[in-house]
Amino acid sequence: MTGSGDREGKFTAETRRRGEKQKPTTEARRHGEGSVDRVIARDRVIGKAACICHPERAGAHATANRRIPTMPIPTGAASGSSQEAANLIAETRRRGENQNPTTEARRHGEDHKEMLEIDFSDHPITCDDPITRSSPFIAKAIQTLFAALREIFDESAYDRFLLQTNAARSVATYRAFTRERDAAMLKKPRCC
Amino acid sequence: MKLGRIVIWLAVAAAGALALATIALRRHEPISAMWLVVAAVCSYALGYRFYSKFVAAKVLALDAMRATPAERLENGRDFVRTNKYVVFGHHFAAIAGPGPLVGPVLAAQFGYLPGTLWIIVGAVFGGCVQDFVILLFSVRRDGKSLGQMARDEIGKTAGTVAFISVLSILVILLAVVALIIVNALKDSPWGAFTIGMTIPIALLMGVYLRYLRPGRVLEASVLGFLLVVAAIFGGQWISQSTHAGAFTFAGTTLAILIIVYGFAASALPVWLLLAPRDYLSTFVKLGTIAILALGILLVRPTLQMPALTRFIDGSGPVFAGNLFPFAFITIACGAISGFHSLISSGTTPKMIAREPQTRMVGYGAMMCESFVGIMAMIAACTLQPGTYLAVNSGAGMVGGNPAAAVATISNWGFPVTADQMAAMAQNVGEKTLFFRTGGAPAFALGMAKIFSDSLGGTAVMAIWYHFAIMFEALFILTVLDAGTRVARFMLQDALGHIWKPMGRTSWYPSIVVTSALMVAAWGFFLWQGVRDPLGGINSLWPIFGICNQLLAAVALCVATTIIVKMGRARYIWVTLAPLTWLVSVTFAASWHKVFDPNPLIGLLAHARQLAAGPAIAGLQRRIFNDQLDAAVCGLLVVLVSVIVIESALQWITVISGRRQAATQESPFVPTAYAEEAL
Repeated sequence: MTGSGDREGKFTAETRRRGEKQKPTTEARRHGEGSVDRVIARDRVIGKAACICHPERAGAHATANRRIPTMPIPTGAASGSSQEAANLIAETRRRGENQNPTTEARRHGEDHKEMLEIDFSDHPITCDDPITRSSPFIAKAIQTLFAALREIFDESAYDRFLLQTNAARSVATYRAFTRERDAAMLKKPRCC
Repeated sequence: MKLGRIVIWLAVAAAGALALATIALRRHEPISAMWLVVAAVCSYALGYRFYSKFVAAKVLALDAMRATPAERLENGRDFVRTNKYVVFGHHFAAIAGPGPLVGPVLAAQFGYLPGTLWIIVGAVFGGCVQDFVILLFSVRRDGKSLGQMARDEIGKTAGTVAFISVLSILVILLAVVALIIVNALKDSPWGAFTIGMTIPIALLMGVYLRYLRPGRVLEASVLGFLLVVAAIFGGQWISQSTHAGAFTFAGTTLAILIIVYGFAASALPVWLLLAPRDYLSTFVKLGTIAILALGILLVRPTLQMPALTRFIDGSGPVFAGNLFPFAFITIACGAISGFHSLISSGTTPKMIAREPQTRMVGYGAMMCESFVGIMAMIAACTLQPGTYLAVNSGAGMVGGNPAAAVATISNWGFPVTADQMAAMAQNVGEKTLFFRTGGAPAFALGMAKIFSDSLGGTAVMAIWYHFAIMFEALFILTVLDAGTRVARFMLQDALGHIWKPMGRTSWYPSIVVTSALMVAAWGFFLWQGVRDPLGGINSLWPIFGICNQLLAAVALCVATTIIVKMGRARYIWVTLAPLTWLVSVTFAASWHKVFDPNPLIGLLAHARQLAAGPAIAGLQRRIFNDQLDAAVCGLLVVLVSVIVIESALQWITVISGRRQAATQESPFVPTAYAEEAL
């Protein structure tokens, strides 16, 4: 657990802002955190670095993402159509709720159930998978393919929305998310 | 460069040159489609490795140390730093549409050579460059749209003209794609049932996503895809049952149904129909393109179409017009598409993590789109030319009935018999394949042939054909409902300046009025096309091509202006050369469409011919339609001329030093991810 905690710390927004050199450890590299793009992918929810055979890492990364919102969203920034989402954020902030489990809680396996669900569905490849073992390149390609599909199909956008609103996957949050996204879709042409 | 690399790239260049020479010089014998694939892949590889790198380094000076808007303005919604491969996939899914499938199929009437060369050359030096530079310039302007960049960099008039151009192109585009569907589904109970079923399937997906498994889009898309496949088999059963009559529609009935659908889709909540259909269409689109590429590689079909046909003189039955400029107008999106500049200045720039990634995303994704065009060309050219012409020609061009059509086509030197056509129709589960203009049925036929050759044989050809029709129609209906909404939104935005409530996108009366206006606009052109005895595509597709290429000209004007203002005028040719070509092609095509004395090409000549001929039902309406089409062409040319002249004045004043160059770039902010950039 300490290892994953270290990795979390390594990629915080704070260290990035300071422009510190962040060389991934051998351990981190083994779990696919070496490359720049993978760091971005993992850090932005679209492709998790943790694997199914290390659930504690999956939870840790999801938590890292939740705990380090890169930029707080001003409530006023929400448009009329995304009012529900804005209210959700505002309400969470007003109550001062932090649904992220502490490191202590994670250590005791009290991680958020929903986070684990998100991570497992995102990352079907395991460390012990014969394909992964024999060819990290194929594993990376499959991982990237899944990440691209999740981005194309707005699943990553929904995950980001959940992280921002500190909410769990539910009918209500998806409704709030679709309202926000619908406004964007209205302006998005499909190419001829 | 190391010796090994030099050898590899020389080998790539040699292979590409050999393939291009084979395509260009081999005559009077069929060639393998693999020559087209090799020529395209080698050209793209060289273009990407050398030309795009040159543009990136010398012209655009991509800066890895500069923070992108995805970093500076990151909000977890629109602005999100994203893995470059993911952005690439996202961008490709957004730019891939029915255009590169239909355009090359229509242009195949000239033979495979002109279309293939233009798809490759046009993409490497035009389309890919346009997508790349517009994406980069949008990234450097906080993700601004093409219209905003035109207003900021060229002037207010240019911004207004860009807005009107986009709205006009949308109207024509929607009419054309709707016409393609109508021509593919008329008198086809199988196709009509399958496509009809995609509406309840999309609604079901909407409910599934909203209430049953919120956010599980991939899961819902797989489910939707399985249901669509079931609908294809259901369609086969329907077409052979006594219910077939209920799903057999004439062109005019289908046009009315599609107009009603367009209005309903525009007014219904996005989550219920538009979003799930969009997901389903994207899922099928990506899968089918991958399968088609695999099928071509496995089957390595032989091209039956000659390299050049007699129709390069402008007498073609698919659409009338000379090789220059009409081949270039017709191919449109496969080589260069103005529409892509809207995507490149829309969602994508807000996801780019570092500037150098714009090369892979902008240039690379367009290369893939161009390859889709090559595949469509291969699919069309694997058909016997006689079959291809019988399917794609309008009744008014080759004779009013099948017997007259086969006689006319055979007399041209492309033998085909009514029995062959009947057997082909039976193989694909249709009553007839004559006069199915629009490109979609011919593409589906070619695709079914390739698929059935690799899997299942003639026994499953009907399934593959209807799968291809479903794939195209799904694509097109998505373009139709998304396009109607975008056009409605733009109209609401514009009307909001006149009367504020109309600008409120959630105000229902405004939604209904603007939706009705937009649907009426494209519905008018659709109706005109459906009633056209020449097949509609003959007049509407070239106008669509002109609109699309004119929009590309607008994008290249913006790009050239920015390059000049950046102080890189010595590289102005990078965008000025494709711009000059596009302006020549589109203006020449517009002139032909409006003033050509041949009534099959010139709209005014056709109107005069009608007026001088015998009185027939709807004569005045048809004359008016021709005059209206001519006016639309003329208006667009005038609008784009305004932008070109305004841009040229800017270039001259800046280059001559009479005006100080000032771009509207966002100020440089160093990236916080410096270690990644190094």
